[in-house]
Amino acid sequence: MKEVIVIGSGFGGAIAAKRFAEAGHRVTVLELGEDWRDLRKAQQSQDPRYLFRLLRNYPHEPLRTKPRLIVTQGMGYGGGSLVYSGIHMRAPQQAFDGWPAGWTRARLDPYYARVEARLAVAPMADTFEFGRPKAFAEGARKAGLPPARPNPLAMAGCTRCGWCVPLCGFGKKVTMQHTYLLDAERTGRLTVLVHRKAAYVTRARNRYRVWSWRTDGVAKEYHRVAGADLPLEHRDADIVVIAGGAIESPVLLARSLAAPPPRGSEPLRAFSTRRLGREQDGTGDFVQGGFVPQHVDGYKGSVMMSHVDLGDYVLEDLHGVPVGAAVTLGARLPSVGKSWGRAYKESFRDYGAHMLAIGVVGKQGAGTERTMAVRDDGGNAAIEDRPYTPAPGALEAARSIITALGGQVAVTPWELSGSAVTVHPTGGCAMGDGPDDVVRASDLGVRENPGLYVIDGSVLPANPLRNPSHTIAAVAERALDVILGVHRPEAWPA
Amino acid sequence: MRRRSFLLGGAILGGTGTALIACQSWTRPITRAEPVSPHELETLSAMAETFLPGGDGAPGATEVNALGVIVDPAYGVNPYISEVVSDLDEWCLVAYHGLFSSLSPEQRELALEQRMGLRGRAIQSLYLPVYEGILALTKLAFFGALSNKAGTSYIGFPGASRGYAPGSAAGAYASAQPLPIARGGASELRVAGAGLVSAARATAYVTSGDDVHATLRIRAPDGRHHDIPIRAEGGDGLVDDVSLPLAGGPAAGAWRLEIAAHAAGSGRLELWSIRLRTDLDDRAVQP
Repeated sequence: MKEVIVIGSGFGGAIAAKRFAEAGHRVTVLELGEDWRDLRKAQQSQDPRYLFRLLRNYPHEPLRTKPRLIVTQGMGYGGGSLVYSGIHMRAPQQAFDGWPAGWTRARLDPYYARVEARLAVAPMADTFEFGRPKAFAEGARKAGLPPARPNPLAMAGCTRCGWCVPLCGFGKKVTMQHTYLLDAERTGRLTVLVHRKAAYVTRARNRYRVWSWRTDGVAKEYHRVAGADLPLEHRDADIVVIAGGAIESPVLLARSLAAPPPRGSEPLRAFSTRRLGREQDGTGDFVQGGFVPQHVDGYKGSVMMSHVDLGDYVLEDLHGVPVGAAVTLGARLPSVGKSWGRAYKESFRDYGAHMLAIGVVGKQGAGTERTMAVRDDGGNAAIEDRPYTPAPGALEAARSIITALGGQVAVTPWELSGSAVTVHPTGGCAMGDGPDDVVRASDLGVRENPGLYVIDGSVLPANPLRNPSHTIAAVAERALDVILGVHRPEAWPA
Repeated sequence: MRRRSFLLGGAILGGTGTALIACQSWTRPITRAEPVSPHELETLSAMAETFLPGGDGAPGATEVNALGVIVDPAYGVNPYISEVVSDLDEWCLVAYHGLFSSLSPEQRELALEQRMGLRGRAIQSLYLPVYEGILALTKLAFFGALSNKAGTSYIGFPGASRGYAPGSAAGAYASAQPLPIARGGASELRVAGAGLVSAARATAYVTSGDDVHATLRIRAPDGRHHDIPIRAEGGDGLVDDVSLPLAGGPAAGAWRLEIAAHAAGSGRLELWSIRLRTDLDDRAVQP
C-alpha cells in the first residue's frame, strides 16, 4: 500500500482517486473549494452567494483589467464536473493531429466507452420535444446546416426543469462526487480535505511533500490567496497526482520549481520549463444569442441538449441562465431605455421565452490557437492577456440559425465588452515525447520526477474541438491503466 | 485603500449559459456586517422598490426581500450603505427639499437617474458603483436568489416546462417543503395545463438519523393512487425517478403525496417531485 495525494477532484483527480484507492492504495484528496454533496446546499447554487463559491475567474477582477480573455473554472469537491453541462462528446479524429504518436481516436474509444458506462451517458430520448432544441434544429435545417443531433449527456433521471446551472436541484447531474469519488470512498481508503489550496510540491527523502494553504470558507481566500498570511501545512506521499486543471496545475509546478523549498525538503528535480504554462487553448468557447419568434423556453431543459457538428467546431443550444441573463441584460435594455421598472420584468420574461442562445465550442481563430499562457503571481494563477477569437465562420453559422428562424441577432457579451470568456481551458503541461514536453505521453509522469503525475485538462496537447471533459476523463483512464500496470507503456505503440 | 479599490470597481457581468459572474470589489464575499439604521433600511427599501416596483400583479423588490440581499455582507455593498444613503439624501435635500424616502415615486426615479449618471455625468455620484450594486442585487434577489422564488416563479424558472406542447401540463413539479415522516401527513403539488397523463414519474428524498420504513402514496387528481415503499436505514433514502402507473387521467389538478409510516424514527421527507408527460406531448411533431 502506498500513500497517494491527489490535488484536485475534477475529471482527472476523481478518476485517479478511484483507481488508486481500488488498487489498494491510501488516497488523500486536497480540494480548494468546498463539499457540495448535500442536496439542500446544492439547491442554493443559483443563489449568487453560493455561485461565487463554485467559480473561479482568471483574472480575478476581470472588469477592472478588461482582459481580452476571461477563464472561468469550477471548484469544489467534484471540480469542473460541478458546473459542467453533462456533455460527453468524443473528440473527432482531426482533433488528435499534433498529439504524440500512438494517440488516436480509435485507441481512445475504449476509454471513452468506459467513462460513458460509469457516468450513464445517453442522449435524452425526448430532446427535440423541447422548445429550445426544437427551434435550434429547425433553424439549422432552414439555414442549410447539418442536422442537429441530441447531445450525449450524463443527466440520468433529468426532470427537464432547467435547474441545472450550476448544480442540479434534484441531484440528477451525474458529477464526479456522485460516481468516481463515491467509488473511492467505498474502499474505505479515501480521505478528503476541502478548503486546501496546494502551495508547493517538494521532495522529502524519497517521497514527495505537498504543502497547502488552508483557506477559510467563504472568505476572499477562495478567490485569491496571500500566501504569507495563511497557515501552511504539509503531507507526505509516495505518489502525487496534480489534477488542479489547466490553469492551476502548470502554475503549481512552476511555483514548486521557482520557490526555495521549505526547511527539511528539497526542490523537485529540474526539467525543461519551456512549454510549462504555455501553448494553451480555450477550446474556442463563444456564445451567440438572438430573439426568435418561436417559444423556446430558454430556461428549461438541461444546459445544452443538442448540437450541430461542423467538423472543427460544434454549435449547441444553450440554456438561458436567469442569474446570468439578469446581470447581462441588466446593463441596458434597448427596449426599456433604462435598467429598471416594470417593463424590465416583462422584458426578462420575454427573454426566457424567446431568447435562443447558441454556444460555439471547437477550433479557435487563426493566430489565437495555443497562445494562452499562465504564470504564478504570488500564490495565485495569472493569465497572460492574449487575443482570443472564434473559428472563422463559427459565429456566422450560429447567426444563420437565428435569422433562418426569422429572429433578430443580439449583440454578444464579447462584442459589448471586448472580453471573451472560456470555461474550457486546456494545455499548459502538454504530454509528449520531446525533451521540452512537461509530462510523458505514456503515463503522464512529470519528467525527471518519478511518482509525480499530472492528470487533468492541462496535459491535452491540442484542443479536443469539443467540450473537453470527456477527453480529459478518457485520457485519465488510459494513463492510470499504465500507471497501475494494467498496460505496459509500450502496449500502445505508434 | 479598500475604498479606493472599491471606487475603481464596476458592476457584475453575466454571460448567458455559462453563468460567468465576475467578482468586483463590492461583490467579493466578506464576513463582517456593519450595522444598518432604520432610516437606512427605509431608504434602501425605497430605492429597491423604485428599481423593481410591485403592485402590477407581479412581485416587486419588497416581495422578493431585496432588502435582505442588499444588506447581506456576503455581497459587499453593506460597508457603504451609510455613505450611499447620505449621498442620496443630501442630493434630494438640495434638489427636492426632502429626504429620498419622503419623495413621490416619480421624484425618486428621477433622483436615482440623476445620481446614476443617466441625466448627465456632471451630477453623477462618486458612489455610482454602490448604486449599481444595489440595482444589481435587487435584480438578483428577483431572478437569482432562489431562497425566495417569487421572482423566478414569475418567469417560470424552475418549474413546469411549457416546452413539450402548447398548453400541455407536462413538466416537472416539485415541493421542497420538509415533512416529518413520523407524523404522517401529506404534501400537495398543483399542476396546471391541458392533457391526459401519458407518463408519470416520481422522485422523493428522505433524510434520517435512524431507520425509517414508510410508504409514500402518490395520489393523482382523479383519485387513483400508487404506493411506493421507502426504506432508509440509518441514512438517506431516495426514490429515484420511479414510474407511476397513473396514466389516463387529467394531468391538471392536485397531486398529493401521503405518508404512511410503519417504523418511523426522526426521518423527514426533504423533497418530492413528479414529472409528467401528456397525450398532447405524444402527438407533438418532431423535426
